[in-house]
Amino acid sequence: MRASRGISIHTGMAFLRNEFYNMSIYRVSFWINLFYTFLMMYSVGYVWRALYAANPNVSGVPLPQMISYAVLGVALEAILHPRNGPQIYIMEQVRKGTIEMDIMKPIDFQFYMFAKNMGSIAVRFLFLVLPSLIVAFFLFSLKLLDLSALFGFLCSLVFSIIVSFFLNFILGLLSMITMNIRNINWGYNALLRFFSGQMVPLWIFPSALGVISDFLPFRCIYAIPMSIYIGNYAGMDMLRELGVQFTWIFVLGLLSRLLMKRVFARVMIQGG
Amino acid sequence: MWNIRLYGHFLRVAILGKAQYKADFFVGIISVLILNAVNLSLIGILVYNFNTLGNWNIWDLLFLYSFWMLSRGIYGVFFWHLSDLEEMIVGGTLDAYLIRPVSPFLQFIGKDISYTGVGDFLVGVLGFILAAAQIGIHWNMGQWAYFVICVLSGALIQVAINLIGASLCFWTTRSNAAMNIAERFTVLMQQYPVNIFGKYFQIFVTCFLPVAFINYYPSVVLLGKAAGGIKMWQYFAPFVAIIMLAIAAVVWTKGIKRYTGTGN
Repeated sequence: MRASRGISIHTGMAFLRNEFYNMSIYRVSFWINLFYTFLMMYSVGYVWRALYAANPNVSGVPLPQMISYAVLGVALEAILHPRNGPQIYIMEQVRKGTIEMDIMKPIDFQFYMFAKNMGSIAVRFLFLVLPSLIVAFFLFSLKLLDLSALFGFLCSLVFSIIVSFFLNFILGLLSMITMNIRNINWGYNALLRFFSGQMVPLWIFPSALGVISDFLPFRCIYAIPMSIYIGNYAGMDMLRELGVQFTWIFVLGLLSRLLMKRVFARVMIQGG
Repeated sequence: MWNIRLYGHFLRVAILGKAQYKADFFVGIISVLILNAVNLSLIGILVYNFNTLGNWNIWDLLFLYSFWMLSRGIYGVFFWHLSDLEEMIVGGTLDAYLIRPVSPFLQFIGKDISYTGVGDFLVGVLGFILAAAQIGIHWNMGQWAYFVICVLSGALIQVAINLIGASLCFWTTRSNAAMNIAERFTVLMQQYPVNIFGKYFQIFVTCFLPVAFINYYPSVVLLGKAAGGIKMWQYFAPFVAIIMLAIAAVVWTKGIKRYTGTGN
């Protein structure tokens, strides 16, 4: 963000607006995605109901909270849309050969990608997730948060978006070297699904797998905000988990800046 | 007869085309294996903790999943490219099929072959062997025959649903969005026993979009899972496949007659 700050934020808003218009063109796929998001919430809710019907005390969390957790997992995935994030945009630009246009814009490339990503996140939240969340809220009578938990959850949600962005951005940088990240992206999403606690909460994982997930950044994206929401992390625990997220943001942010510098140097040399 | 020989010939050409990209083949198969491993492990962890999911234990669920994978593998190898129809109509490449003296349908389904289906089928075979050993199935010849017929019907139901979806683009020019949701819906439904989702849902996936006949009802029959005894109509997977295929054939024929090309 070398340009003066005021201009950056102003430009960022413009990209955000642009993304909004881009996404509002495709009406049919919008309705289909809305239907699908709601269907996912409905079905995860019913899966947990069926599991609890047989054994209500296994997971240590009461059923309404567990359903909130699961529905929130679907909502977060719909908001973040990790399969098709900035990494895919960067890869497609690289393959079309138009990535220079993005790099040469008089705005920091990473900030540009972030603003673009935030635009699509905002659109997906407002039009895809909010309506289905409201229906799911009444269908499963989900619970609302008290104030301090709400504050912690919102912080954690922002951190989760940033961690997810950095990981996707790093994948995008890789595509500038390898040209194709479809398979890498695919493997990344499989790992994310497994170790993030999105579908199956990490506290019921066998202990060895649980330890692995502790050392990976993936749980910062799903498990931490979701656990804060249902009150599994409160007080000091909540602060500790927010700290974990913040540490990962710091590490991944630094890594992505360094990587960006090196990759750009390479791209410049090749481009001549 | 001539048509079948021609289809065989088309497939040979498609295989030769695919064989040029060997690395792609292995990466594709490995990705499919990983995806299935992740899906199965997640279900496994859930059921390991809770013991059962709507009266289905971990091996019953593996049976259900493998049943689906077997039929999905067969469908996938030969028909995965049904979703290319939209692109072919938009790009105008379908027109070339119409001027040749061979059925356009035969040319379309013979144009490609997909190896991701091989990965699915492998997962299905392995999962089935494991689940069958753990459940301890002792089937007579009739039951084995019914099993094989149901796997094939499951594949045909998926062919029919996707063919109907793809043919929509003769009317709307765009159909991939609709196919996409049908696919995601199928994927979601096949991993869990349908009865946990409530009555209305069960009616929907039995009567309107009969994906429950791909693996759920055949598994109910073969594992004896029906609560109040097995009802006659739960055996009907093969008939459902025939009806769906008939509908798909009508939709395709009407569509291709109506098709006039996207250009002027």
